[in-house]
Amino acid sequence: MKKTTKKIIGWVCYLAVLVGLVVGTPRLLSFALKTPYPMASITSSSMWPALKRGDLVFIKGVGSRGNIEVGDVIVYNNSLGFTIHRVVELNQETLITKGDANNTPDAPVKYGEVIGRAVKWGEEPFRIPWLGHISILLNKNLNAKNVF
Amino acid sequence: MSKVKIVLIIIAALIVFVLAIQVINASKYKMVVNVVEGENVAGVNVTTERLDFGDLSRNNGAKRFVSLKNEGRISTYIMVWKFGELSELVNIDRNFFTLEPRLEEETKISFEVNIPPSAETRKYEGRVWVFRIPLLWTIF
Repeated sequence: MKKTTKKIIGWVCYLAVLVGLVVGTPRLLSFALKTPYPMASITSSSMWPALKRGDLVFIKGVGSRGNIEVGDVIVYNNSLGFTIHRVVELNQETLITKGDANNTPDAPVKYGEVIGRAVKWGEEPFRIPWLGHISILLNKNLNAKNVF
Repeated sequence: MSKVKIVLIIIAALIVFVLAIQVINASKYKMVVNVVEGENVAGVNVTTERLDFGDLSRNNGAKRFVSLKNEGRISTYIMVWKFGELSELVNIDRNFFTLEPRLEEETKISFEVNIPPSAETRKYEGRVWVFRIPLLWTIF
């Protein structure tokens, strides 16, 4: 086979793998973690020091409300976008969350608004520092939802 | 070795040299805050050698300033880098700006720390590097 043809095939394979990774990884994560939003970038310091601005966290679907416990760090949908805070109280119809670095708890959240729970590493959420900044920069221009 | 490689090596060496000079010339400060128990506690440690925010209780804050003055003839680009654990709690009011030469007034950069309720009662430390990059073309 000619050198040029080999090179072209090599580049095509490389691009196919790259596109596959970029497109396939979020879908694979969604499937594995059972949520349409398997990753989230932290855009504020409300959960400092457990989560820091620019961190990337992984979100796992909670299924039923019985899977949520006090102390879990959950993601829920609200008017501002997505919020990731710690559960401090569980009630019949709603739950109460609070950012670790905030003084006051948040408004009650309905269980149906919960997107998922942060994947843990030991006792605290697993986080990849700095990787979330990429998403924050991109979302700034796209005006997409961020996680507070 | 080809001429192109030699030229590239010389350019790379020059870039490394310039970067090294900038790092050596940068003003470097240590930052420290001691988080203590209590409410509205603010103890001051007066020192010009570092950015010492003193003793602060949770939900309390403090400001420190770094003064800059450009007494030369060339504009200087100011870039502030902060790192370390304390850098996550410190806000800088201005960064990435040009300091014009021969201004009578000093320019102040403020470093504000706010201690969140989740902070532990211990010392938090960090470092600040203030780079002053001369904009050589402004001499003309």
